[in-house]
Amino acid sequence: MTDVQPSNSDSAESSSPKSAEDIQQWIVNFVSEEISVSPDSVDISAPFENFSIDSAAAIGMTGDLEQWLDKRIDPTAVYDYPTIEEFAEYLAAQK
Amino acid sequence: MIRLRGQSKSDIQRRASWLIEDDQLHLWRIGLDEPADVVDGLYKLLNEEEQERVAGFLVDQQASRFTVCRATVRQILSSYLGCDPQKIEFEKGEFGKPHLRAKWRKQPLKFNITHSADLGVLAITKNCEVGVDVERIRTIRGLPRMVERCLVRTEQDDVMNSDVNHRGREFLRFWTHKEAYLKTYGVGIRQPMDKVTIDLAAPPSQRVVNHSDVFPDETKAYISEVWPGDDYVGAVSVAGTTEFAIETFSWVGGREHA
Repeated sequence: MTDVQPSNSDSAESSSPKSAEDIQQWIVNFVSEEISVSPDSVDISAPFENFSIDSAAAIGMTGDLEQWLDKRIDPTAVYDYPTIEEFAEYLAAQK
Repeated sequence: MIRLRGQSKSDIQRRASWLIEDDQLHLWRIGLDEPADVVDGLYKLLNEEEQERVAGFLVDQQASRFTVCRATVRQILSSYLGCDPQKIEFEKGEFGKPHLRAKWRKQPLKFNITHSADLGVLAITKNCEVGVDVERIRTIRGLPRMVERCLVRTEQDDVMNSDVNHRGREFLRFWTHKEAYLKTYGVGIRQPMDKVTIDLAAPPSQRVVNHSDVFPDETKAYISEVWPGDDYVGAVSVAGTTEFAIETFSWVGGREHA
């Protein structure tokens, strides 16, 4: 779906650590696809509620991110880090 | 299962004021896609904070659906409280569940709101906390992983053993039951969904089979499945085990357009 998501051919890349910027871009792509807008219009400092991402999509996003980052993510963390910027920084800092 | 009526005429004008008894649950079905002139009229009922939120939405359709939902909730609640819609003040609980501000609680009205796509539902009770959730049936991204994350083993088997074309729907039936239950106690999905076990075939007072002690005290709930219309599933949950008489109503297009 997006160019930063893993595919079968780049599994080696998917296991390397991701920077906060990589993760930001992944989430921007996810959100823009979810609500059918251009990635350029997604403001990383706006609260997630501006994008009307519902709870099922938020949990789905966390699940997809877990797979891409290859680590467990607390499904409720997105509520503690309510912008793309903050959530990506939190995820990048997680071991 | 409670069927919510879709109709062309609004129920809001049927009575000058609305009353609710202790053993009643009122479910209002709200169509969220309204013409621009109706949305503009409703926008005036929102407070400053709500209007700021409208301005923040990236997609116009989401902004107008939010406007209709929030303004309608104000209209409907105002007819129970006997006040102007603009005057109602809300506050949020620790995990974001909205309720009436303390000074409005002389009449012990409880409510909960849900929306999905073009449908909103407002549940109203008296004294007992209530939670409601509806979801439009859709293709769930990464369904097997969502099932694994949110459902316990018996629920996972129920979903994955169902017809492949109905798995999304079956998943959302469990999801809406769990979310309605968790919203009843004001925690929403801040509690992991896989800590709650639901039996969809049990009577309403016994549908929560296990809650893994996520709530130390009161944990019982009376949960009914709601059928808001084609393409949707839903559930409504009231704290306690008392049976509720459920009445359903429709809100369509605002008072002035009813």
